[in-house]
Amino acid sequence: MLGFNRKPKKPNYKDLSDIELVVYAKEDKEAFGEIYERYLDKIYNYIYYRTGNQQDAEDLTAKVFYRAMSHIENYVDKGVPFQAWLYRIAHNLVANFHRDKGRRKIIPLDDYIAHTLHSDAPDKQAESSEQEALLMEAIRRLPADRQQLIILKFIEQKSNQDIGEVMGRTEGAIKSLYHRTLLSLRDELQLQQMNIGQADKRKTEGKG
Amino acid sequence: MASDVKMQNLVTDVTDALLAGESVDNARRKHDVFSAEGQDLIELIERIHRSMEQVEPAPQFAKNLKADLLGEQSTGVVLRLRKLPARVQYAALAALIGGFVLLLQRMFLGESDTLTEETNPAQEKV
Repeated sequence: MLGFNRKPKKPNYKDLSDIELVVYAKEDKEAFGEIYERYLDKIYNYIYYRTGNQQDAEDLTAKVFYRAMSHIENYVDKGVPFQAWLYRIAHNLVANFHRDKGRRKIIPLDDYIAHTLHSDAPDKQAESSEQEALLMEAIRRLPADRQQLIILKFIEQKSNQDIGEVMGRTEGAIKSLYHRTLLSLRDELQLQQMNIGQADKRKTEGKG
Repeated sequence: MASDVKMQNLVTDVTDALLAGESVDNARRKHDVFSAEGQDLIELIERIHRSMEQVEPAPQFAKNLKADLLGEQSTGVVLRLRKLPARVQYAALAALIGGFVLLLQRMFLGESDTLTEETNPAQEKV
Protein backbone atom coordinates (compact mmCIF):
# COMPACT_ATOMS: atom_id res chain seq x y z
CA MET A 1 0.00 0.00 0.00
CA LEU A 2 2.77 2.33 0.96
CA GLY A 3 4.70 1.64 -2.22
CA PHE A 4 1.62 2.05 -4.39
CA ASN A 5 2.08 5.76 -4.99
CA ARG A 6 5.82 5.73 -4.85
CA LYS A 7 7.47 7.39 -7.86
CA PRO A 8 10.01 5.34 -9.81
CA LYS A 9 13.52 6.08 -8.62
CA LYS A 10 15.19 8.82 -10.63
CA PRO A 11 18.39 7.57 -12.28
CA ASN A 12 21.71 9.29 -11.92
CA TYR A 13 21.67 11.37 -15.08
CA LYS A 14 25.44 11.52 -15.26
CA ASP A 15 25.52 7.77 -15.93
CA LEU A 16 23.10 7.86 -18.83
CA SER A 17 23.91 7.93 -22.51
CA ASP A 18 22.81 10.95 -24.52
CA ILE A 19 19.83 9.16 -25.99
CA GLU A 20 18.64 7.89 -22.61
CA LEU A 21 19.10 11.36 -21.20
CA VAL A 22 17.02 12.93 -23.95
CA VAL A 23 14.08 10.68 -23.03
CA TYR A 24 14.18 12.02 -19.46
CA ALA A 25 14.86 15.59 -20.61
CA LYS A 26 11.50 15.64 -22.37
CA GLU A 27 9.86 15.51 -18.93
CA ASP A 28 12.47 16.67 -16.47
CA LYS A 29 14.50 19.85 -16.70
CA GLU A 30 17.14 18.40 -14.44
CA ALA A 31 17.94 15.92 -17.21
CA PHE A 32 18.18 18.82 -19.61
CA GLY A 33 20.60 20.40 -17.15
CA GLU A 34 22.88 17.40 -17.61
CA ILE A 35 22.72 17.80 -21.39
CA TYR A 36 23.63 21.44 -20.87
CA GLU A 37 26.65 20.49 -18.76
CA ARG A 38 27.82 17.99 -21.35
CA TYR A 39 27.56 20.27 -24.35
CA LEU A 40 27.93 23.85 -23.18
CA ASP A 41 31.69 24.03 -23.84
CA LYS A 42 31.45 22.28 -27.19
CA ILE A 43 28.67 24.48 -28.51
CA TYR A 44 30.30 27.61 -27.12
CA ASN A 45 33.60 26.75 -28.81
CA TYR A 46 31.90 26.00 -32.09
CA ILE A 47 30.08 29.33 -32.06
CA TYR A 48 33.06 31.27 -30.75
CA TYR A 49 35.22 30.14 -33.66
CA ARG A 50 32.40 30.78 -36.13
CA THR A 51 31.68 34.31 -34.89
CA GLY A 52 35.04 35.40 -33.51
CA ASN A 53 33.95 37.15 -30.35
CA GLN A 54 32.81 36.35 -26.86
CA GLN A 55 29.65 38.48 -26.81
CA ASP A 56 28.11 36.94 -29.91
CA ALA A 57 29.25 33.50 -28.82
CA GLU A 58 27.42 33.92 -25.52
CA ASP A 59 24.24 35.26 -27.13
CA LEU A 60 24.07 32.50 -29.70
CA THR A 61 25.02 29.76 -27.24
CA ALA A 62 22.12 30.83 -25.04
CA LYS A 63 19.80 30.75 -28.05
CA VAL A 64 20.97 27.25 -28.97
CA PHE A 65 20.08 25.87 -25.55
CA TYR A 66 16.76 27.69 -25.37
CA ARG A 67 15.84 26.34 -28.76
CA ALA A 68 17.03 22.85 -27.87
CA MET A 69 14.98 22.92 -24.68
CA SER A 70 11.81 24.04 -26.42
CA HIS A 71 12.17 21.48 -29.23
CA ILE A 72 13.49 18.49 -27.33
CA GLU A 73 9.97 17.11 -26.99
CA ASN A 74 9.95 16.65 -30.76
CA TYR A 75 13.39 15.05 -30.93
CA VAL A 76 13.31 11.63 -32.57
CA ASP A 77 16.31 9.31 -32.42
CA LYS A 78 17.18 8.46 -36.00
CA GLY A 79 20.44 6.74 -35.19
CA VAL A 80 22.44 9.95 -35.56
CA PRO A 81 24.36 11.14 -32.46
CA PHE A 82 22.34 13.58 -30.38
CA GLN A 83 25.11 16.15 -30.58
CA ALA A 84 24.58 16.33 -34.35
CA TRP A 85 21.14 17.75 -33.57
CA LEU A 86 22.64 20.38 -31.25
CA TYR A 87 25.32 21.30 -33.78
CA ARG A 88 22.61 21.60 -36.42
CA ILE A 89 20.77 24.13 -34.26
CA ALA A 90 24.01 26.03 -33.66
CA HIS A 91 24.88 25.93 -37.35
CA ASN A 92 21.47 27.36 -38.33
CA LEU A 93 21.64 30.10 -35.72
CA VAL A 94 25.14 31.12 -36.78
CA ALA A 95 24.03 31.17 -40.42
CA ASN A 96 21.04 33.37 -39.51
CA PHE A 97 23.28 35.60 -37.43
CA HIS A 98 25.67 36.23 -40.32
CA ARG A 99 22.81 36.76 -42.74
CA ASP A 100 20.78 39.09 -40.50
CA LYS A 101 23.62 41.20 -39.28
CA GLY A 102 25.25 41.39 -42.68
CA ARG A 103 28.62 40.94 -41.06
CA ARG A 104 29.55 37.57 -42.39
CA LYS A 105 33.23 36.71 -41.94
CA ILE A 106 34.21 39.99 -40.31
CA ILE A 107 36.61 39.32 -37.49
CA PRO A 108 37.13 41.56 -34.53
CA LEU A 109 40.88 41.26 -34.84
CA ASP A 110 41.74 43.02 -31.61
CA ASP A 111 39.35 40.85 -29.70
CA TYR A 112 40.88 37.71 -31.12
CA ILE A 113 44.44 38.89 -30.53
CA ALA A 114 43.66 39.86 -26.95
CA HIS A 115 42.14 36.44 -26.39
CA THR A 116 45.06 34.45 -27.72
CA LEU A 117 48.05 36.25 -26.29
CA HIS A 118 50.65 33.84 -25.04
CA SER A 119 53.58 34.34 -22.70
CA ASP A 120 56.19 34.84 -25.45
CA ALA A 121 58.38 37.90 -25.82
CA PRO A 122 56.26 40.95 -26.75
CA ASP A 123 57.52 41.39 -30.33
CA LYS A 124 57.27 37.69 -31.05
CA GLN A 125 53.89 37.72 -29.38
CA ALA A 126 52.55 40.48 -31.62
CA GLU A 127 53.87 38.77 -34.73
CA SER A 128 52.46 35.38 -33.85
CA SER A 129 49.13 36.90 -32.83
CA GLU A 130 48.92 38.68 -36.14
CA GLN A 131 49.67 35.45 -37.95
CA GLU A 132 47.06 33.64 -35.89
CA ALA A 133 44.50 36.33 -36.61
CA LEU A 134 45.19 36.06 -40.34
CA LEU A 135 44.74 32.32 -40.14
CA MET A 136 41.48 32.67 -38.24
CA GLU A 137 40.29 35.19 -40.80
CA ALA A 138 41.05 32.71 -43.56
CA ILE A 139 39.26 29.93 -41.70
CA ARG A 140 36.17 32.13 -41.28
CA ARG A 141 36.15 32.75 -44.99
CA LEU A 142 35.71 29.03 -45.63
CA PRO A 143 32.26 27.59 -46.36
CA ALA A 144 30.34 26.70 -43.20
CA ASP A 145 30.79 22.93 -43.50
CA ARG A 146 34.57 23.30 -43.82
CA GLN A 147 34.70 25.58 -40.79
CA GLN A 148 32.72 23.01 -38.85
CA LEU A 149 35.14 20.29 -39.91
CA ILE A 150 38.17 22.30 -38.75
CA ILE A 151 36.53 23.11 -35.40
CA LEU A 152 35.45 19.53 -34.77
CA LYS A 153 38.91 18.27 -35.64
CA PHE A 154 41.11 20.74 -33.78
CA ILE A 155 38.90 21.83 -30.91
CA GLU A 156 36.83 18.73 -30.30
CA GLN A 157 39.70 16.49 -31.45
CA LYS A 158 37.26 14.13 -33.13
CA SER A 159 38.22 11.38 -35.54
CA ASN A 160 37.08 11.50 -39.17
CA GLN A 161 34.49 8.85 -38.37
CA ASP A 162 33.00 10.86 -35.49
CA ILE A 163 33.03 14.04 -37.56
CA GLY A 164 31.24 12.12 -40.30
CA GLU A 165 28.52 11.09 -37.85
CA VAL A 166 28.01 14.66 -36.69
CA MET A 167 28.04 16.10 -40.20
CA GLY A 168 26.06 13.28 -41.81
CA ARG A 169 28.84 12.15 -44.16
CA THR A 170 31.03 9.10 -44.59
CA GLU A 171 34.49 8.85 -43.09
CA GLY A 172 35.99 8.86 -46.60
CA ALA A 173 34.07 12.00 -47.52
CA ILE A 174 35.39 13.76 -44.42
CA LYS A 175 38.95 12.69 -45.18
CA SER A 176 38.66 14.09 -48.68
CA LEU A 177 36.94 17.28 -47.50
CA TYR A 178 39.67 17.84 -44.91
CA HIS A 179 42.38 17.59 -47.55
CA ARG A 180 40.55 20.00 -49.87
CA THR A 181 39.95 22.36 -46.97
CA LEU A 182 43.65 22.48 -46.18
CA LEU A 183 44.50 23.12 -49.81
CA SER A 184 42.08 26.02 -50.05
CA LEU A 185 43.30 27.43 -46.74
CA ARG A 186 46.90 27.27 -47.95
CA ASP A 187 45.96 29.09 -51.17
CA GLU A 188 44.00 31.71 -49.22
CA LEU A 189 46.91 32.34 -46.88
CA GLN A 190 49.35 32.64 -49.77
CA LEU A 191 47.01 35.20 -51.35
CA GLN A 192 46.85 37.13 -48.09
CA GLN A 193 50.63 37.16 -47.84
CA MET A 194 50.90 38.46 -51.39
CA ASN A 195 48.39 41.23 -50.67
CA ILE A 196 50.19 42.22 -47.49
CA GLY A 197 53.52 42.23 -49.36
CA GLN A 198 52.09 44.45 -52.09
CA ALA A 199 50.52 46.83 -49.55
CA ASP A 200 53.85 47.11 -47.70
CA LYS A 201 55.65 47.76 -50.96
CA ARG A 202 53.18 50.54 -51.87
CA LYS A 203 53.64 52.10 -48.43
CA THR A 204 57.42 52.05 -48.78
CA GLU A 205 57.22 53.53 -52.28
CA GLY A 206 54.81 56.21 -51.04
CA LYS A 207 57.21 57.24 -48.29
CA GLY A 208 60.14 57.27 -50.71
CA MET B 1 44.00 10.36 -57.83
CA ALA B 2 46.39 7.98 -56.07
CA SER B 3 48.44 10.98 -55.04
CA ASP B 4 45.30 12.63 -53.64
CA VAL B 5 44.53 9.59 -51.50
CA LYS B 6 48.14 9.53 -50.32
CA MET B 7 47.91 13.20 -49.32
CA GLN B 8 44.56 12.63 -47.61
CA ASN B 9 46.08 9.86 -45.53
CA LEU B 10 49.12 11.97 -44.76
CA VAL B 11 47.16 14.99 -43.52
CA THR B 12 44.87 12.80 -41.45
CA ASP B 13 47.76 10.95 -39.81
CA VAL B 14 49.77 14.12 -39.21
CA THR B 15 46.76 15.79 -37.58
CA ASP B 16 46.03 12.75 -35.42
CA ALA B 17 49.68 12.64 -34.30
CA LEU B 18 49.73 16.34 -33.43
CA LEU B 19 46.46 16.15 -31.51
CA ALA B 20 47.81 13.17 -29.60
CA GLY B 21 50.92 15.19 -28.72
CA GLU B 22 53.21 13.02 -30.83
CA SER B 23 55.86 13.85 -33.40
CA VAL B 24 54.74 14.10 -37.03
CA ASP B 25 57.90 12.43 -38.29
CA ASN B 26 56.44 8.95 -38.10
CA ALA B 27 53.49 9.94 -40.24
CA ARG B 28 55.79 11.63 -42.71
CA ARG B 29 58.00 8.55 -42.96
CA LYS B 30 55.02 6.21 -43.13
CA HIS B 31 53.58 7.95 -46.16
CA ASP B 32 56.93 8.73 -47.67
CA VAL B 33 55.76 12.21 -48.64
CA PHE B 34 58.44 14.82 -48.92
CA SER B 35 56.93 16.91 -51.70
CA ALA B 36 56.50 20.68 -51.41
CA GLU B 37 52.75 20.22 -51.12
CA GLY B 38 53.14 17.70 -48.32
CA GLN B 39 55.51 20.02 -46.49
CA ASP B 40 53.19 23.02 -46.94
CA LEU B 41 50.22 21.12 -45.58
CA ILE B 42 52.13 19.77 -42.59
CA GLU B 43 53.22 23.31 -41.70
CA LEU B 44 49.66 24.54 -42.11
CA ILE B 45 48.30 21.79 -39.85
CA GLU B 46 50.90 22.69 -37.22
CA ARG B 47 49.90 26.34 -37.50
CA ILE B 48 46.20 25.60 -37.08
CA HIS B 49 47.00 23.36 -34.13
CA ARG B 50 48.95 26.19 -32.46
CA SER B 51 46.24 28.78 -33.16
CA MET B 52 43.10 26.94 -32.26
CA GLU B 53 42.88 26.51 -28.55
CA GLN B 54 39.84 25.46 -26.67
CA VAL B 55 38.08 28.46 -25.13
CA GLU B 56 35.82 28.35 -22.11
CA PRO B 57 32.64 30.30 -21.58
CA ALA B 58 32.78 32.78 -18.70
CA PRO B 59 31.78 30.97 -15.48
CA GLN B 60 29.17 33.62 -14.64
CA PHE B 61 27.60 33.28 -18.08
CA ALA B 62 27.50 29.49 -17.78
CA LYS B 63 25.96 29.70 -14.32
CA ASN B 64 23.35 32.32 -15.24
CA LEU B 65 22.30 30.56 -18.42
CA LYS B 66 21.80 27.29 -16.57
CA ALA B 67 19.78 29.03 -13.88
CA ASP B 68 17.65 30.75 -16.52
CA LEU B 69 17.07 27.52 -18.41
CA LEU B 70 16.23 25.35 -15.43
CA GLY B 71 14.52 28.09 -13.44
CA GLU B 72 11.88 28.34 -16.12
CA GLN B 73 10.11 25.32 -14.70
CA SER B 74 7.94 27.31 -12.30
CA THR B 75 7.25 30.16 -14.69
CA GLY B 76 6.58 27.55 -17.34
CA VAL B 77 3.73 26.09 -15.29
CA VAL B 78 2.27 29.54 -14.68
CA LEU B 79 2.56 30.36 -18.36
CA ARG B 80 0.87 27.11 -19.31
CA LEU B 81 -1.97 27.85 -16.90
CA ARG B 82 -2.39 31.31 -18.34
CA LYS B 83 -2.71 29.86 -21.81
CA LEU B 84 -5.69 27.72 -20.75
CA PRO B 85 -9.26 28.96 -21.50
CA ALA B 86 -10.81 31.15 -18.76
CA ARG B 87 -13.49 28.61 -17.79
CA VAL B 88 -10.82 25.93 -17.34
CA GLN B 89 -8.86 28.33 -15.17
CA TYR B 90 -12.05 29.00 -13.07
CA ALA B 91 -12.69 25.27 -12.82
CA ALA B 92 -9.12 24.67 -11.69
CA LEU B 93 -9.44 27.47 -9.12
CA ALA B 94 -12.78 26.10 -7.87
CA ALA B 95 -11.28 22.61 -7.58
CA LEU B 96 -8.34 24.02 -5.68
CA ILE B 97 -10.56 25.97 -3.27
CA GLY B 98 -12.91 22.99 -2.91
CA GLY B 99 -10.00 20.73 -2.09
CA PHE B 100 -8.72 23.19 0.45
CA VAL B 101 -12.14 23.53 2.11
CA LEU B 102 -12.47 19.75 2.22
CA LEU B 103 -9.09 19.50 3.84
CA LEU B 104 -10.02 22.10 6.48
CA GLN B 105 -13.35 20.39 7.08
CA ARG B 106 -11.62 17.09 7.67
CA MET B 107 -9.17 18.69 10.03
CA PHE B 108 -11.77 20.47 12.20
CA LEU B 109 -14.97 18.44 11.76
CA GLY B 110 -12.96 15.27 11.96
CA GLU B 111 -11.83 16.31 15.44
CA SER B 112 -15.38 17.20 16.56
CA ASP B 113 -16.61 13.79 15.27
CA THR B 114 -14.05 12.11 17.46
CA LEU B 115 -15.20 14.20 20.38
CA THR B 116 -18.81 13.23 19.74
CA GLU B 117 -17.83 9.57 19.60
CA GLU B 118 -15.98 9.94 22.89
CA THR B 119 -18.89 11.70 24.62
CA ASN B 120 -21.60 9.42 23.30
CA PRO B 121 -20.77 6.38 25.50
CA ALA B 122 -20.92 8.63 28.58
CA GLN B 123 -24.31 9.91 27.53
CA GLU B 124 -25.53 6.33 27.15
CA LYS B 125 -24.41 5.56 30.71
CA VAL B 126 -26.43 8.50 32.03
